[in-house]
Amino acid sequence: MLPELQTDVLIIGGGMAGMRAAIEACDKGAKTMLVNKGAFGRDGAASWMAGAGYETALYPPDSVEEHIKDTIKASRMLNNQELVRVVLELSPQGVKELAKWGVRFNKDAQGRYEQWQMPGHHYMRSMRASTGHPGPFFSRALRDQIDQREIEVVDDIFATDLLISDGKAAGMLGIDMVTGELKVYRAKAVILATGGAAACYNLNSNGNATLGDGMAMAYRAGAKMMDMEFHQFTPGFVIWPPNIAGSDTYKVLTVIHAWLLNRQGERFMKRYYPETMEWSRREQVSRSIYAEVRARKGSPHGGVWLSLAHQPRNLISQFLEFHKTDSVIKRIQESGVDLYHDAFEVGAPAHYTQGGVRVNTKCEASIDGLYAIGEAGSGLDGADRLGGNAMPFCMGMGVISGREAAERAHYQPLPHIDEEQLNRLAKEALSPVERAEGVSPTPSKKKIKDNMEEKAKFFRSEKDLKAGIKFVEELREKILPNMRVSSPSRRYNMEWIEAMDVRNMTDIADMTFHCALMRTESRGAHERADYPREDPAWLKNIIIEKVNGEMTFTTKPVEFPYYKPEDLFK
Amino acid sequence: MSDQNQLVEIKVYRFDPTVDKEPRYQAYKVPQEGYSILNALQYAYDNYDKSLSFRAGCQGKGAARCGACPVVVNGIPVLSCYKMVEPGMVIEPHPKFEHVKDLVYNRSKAAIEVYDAPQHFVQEIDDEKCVGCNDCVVMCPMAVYELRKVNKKLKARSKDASSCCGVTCEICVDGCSKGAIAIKPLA
Repeated sequence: MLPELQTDVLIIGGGMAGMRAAIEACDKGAKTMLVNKGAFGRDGAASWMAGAGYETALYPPDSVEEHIKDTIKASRMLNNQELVRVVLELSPQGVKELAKWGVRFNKDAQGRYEQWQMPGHHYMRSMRASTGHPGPFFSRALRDQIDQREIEVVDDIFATDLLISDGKAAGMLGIDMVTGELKVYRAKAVILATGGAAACYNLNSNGNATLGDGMAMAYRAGAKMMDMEFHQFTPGFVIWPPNIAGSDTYKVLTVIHAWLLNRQGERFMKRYYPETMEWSRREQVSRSIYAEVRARKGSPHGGVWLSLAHQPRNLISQFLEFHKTDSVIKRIQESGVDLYHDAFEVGAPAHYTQGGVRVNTKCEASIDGLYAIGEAGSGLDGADRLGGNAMPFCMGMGVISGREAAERAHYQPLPHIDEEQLNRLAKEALSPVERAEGVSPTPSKKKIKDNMEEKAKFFRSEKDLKAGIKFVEELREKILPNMRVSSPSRRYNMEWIEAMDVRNMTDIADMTFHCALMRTESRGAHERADYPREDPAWLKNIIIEKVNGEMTFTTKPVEFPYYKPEDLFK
Repeated sequence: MSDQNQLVEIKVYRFDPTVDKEPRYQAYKVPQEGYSILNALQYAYDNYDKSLSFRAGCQGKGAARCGACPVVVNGIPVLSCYKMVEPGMVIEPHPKFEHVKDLVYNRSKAAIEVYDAPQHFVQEIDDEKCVGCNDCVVMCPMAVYELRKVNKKLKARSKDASSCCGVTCEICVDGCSKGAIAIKPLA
């Protein structure tokens, strides 16, 4: 028998969406537990890196309606319009909550909140904390709220699988990393707030925690998934030296006009977008960088060079003076880069996963009692996400799912645990530490990342994607059943976790390659070299489901309750 | 990529209370140029030793915000994503927190209150400049600050000086919009 913990509402993941859901569920009277892969309020979650801000429409002539319109337009019509509406209607309320909970926003002379404009938005909507980079400050404000409530927070739990009984979510199986034992978390409602899968790419802006754990778990448990071909990339992140790799320097590109150079010192953007050059849209710059790297014209570590050296000395001084409190720019200089003369290496990393668990307007997945929110959910971003929309999505979905889950906990008895299923899953989770002989998971993890980087980024082609599928099949056949952890101690065993990561990443890569192969068009973040145009016949979502152990794919036409394509694209 | 990069030796504290009787120090050869301690630990894990454990957190992406990776280097607390590798470094877990394994600690609220550690840095607050805005309280990855009433006005005060990662972090110094904070080594 495995140790068992019980609660009403179980939240998996301690990022912004998970924290907001926990607060809501607790305030609605449910016994709430939040389990987290690392140290709560510190580790992992991608919301720590969020830099763009919290987009919300506050003052006329802007309105929530306009915000919804921009969001649907950016998604290339693929998102769930009903879901976008219910979530974005909560976005102004989210700002009030954050302000009440201690986030300081700057106000102008008239007492209105200061907002910035982001690409793709028609009005200034971006709210940033007065302290600069918003992610950490929003996260810490939420963390303090959790600390003040009767919410049980459990650190260092790696969730391996969801437990389902009689078609209902009954909890999860997790590895307590500190003791190295398996534990059962039994609950009336389970909220997945496990983030995206950007770290399945070699270059990513998320840190190495967002490996799509929750998505893979939900898929294996039989939940419907959607839009897994859409991964978002963003330009201007440092890739070398390693100590600052992944730091966002997009503002260096935009605040002061920097140049992007290839290894021959050529300002290559002139070949791709001669009019807008480095000021082209994010995906245009990302794609151009990627094209240079593919053509072997990149920098030594797989990116290109960013230089300010063409600017007059006093302009650079002015820029540096203005950003003197910016820790990223400070650290670039500290690591030996003289911004007056030197270039440094930047790349176009994976940034955000737009697909995920398919949910309805109550954030419910296709399994009764399972909710998916934030990046783990899907339906809000469609083919492309607007910059700064992730935070209102996290907050809004947190509120909705927390409320719904708490309500469910009032009438739902605690589900029983399917012992046979539990034994099977526990055996699988323990297999890498119990196996006497086998291979280390670490090289496979690297290989998945390399394959995603090469085959499922820009210029996807049938040949590459089929090679990707073949690679995944080999992984499933040869590596997954043979992974072995070398260290005998189970206490905080990082290799064991890597073995679990490889299993999850295999599912993510499988879904990505298949969906990308199936969608024979280019739309938003999904770009096929062999099908460069957007095809109106593809106003459909690809839905993935595990049926009898096989990954199956179906398409479902998008519904347009509020805006039809002809309303937005004239 | 590290082929051209010169390898230097660092020593890492190793102790798994479920297996080992006493702590030991293991030497690893890691690249120096451009490598933070966290990069070096990852390098050692990837290339030499799968039994090594440490916390990574945000991995320095966007510059040390999460505060998950503090360690002690040659006796001084630092954020491992911030501090660069130097030859001969001795890396140990942060003594402020309950030890789990190698460099991993438990940082739950209860654990922080129990453990005490020597103080290495002084957080100096200029009350003339401080407006009690709470920014440093939310900003500090190690939760060093709190607001206290001083002459009926709220001012920042250090409540947990021994957790401070001092000069490798200085997020509070850079982030204070009034320039009211200075961090100095304890004399």
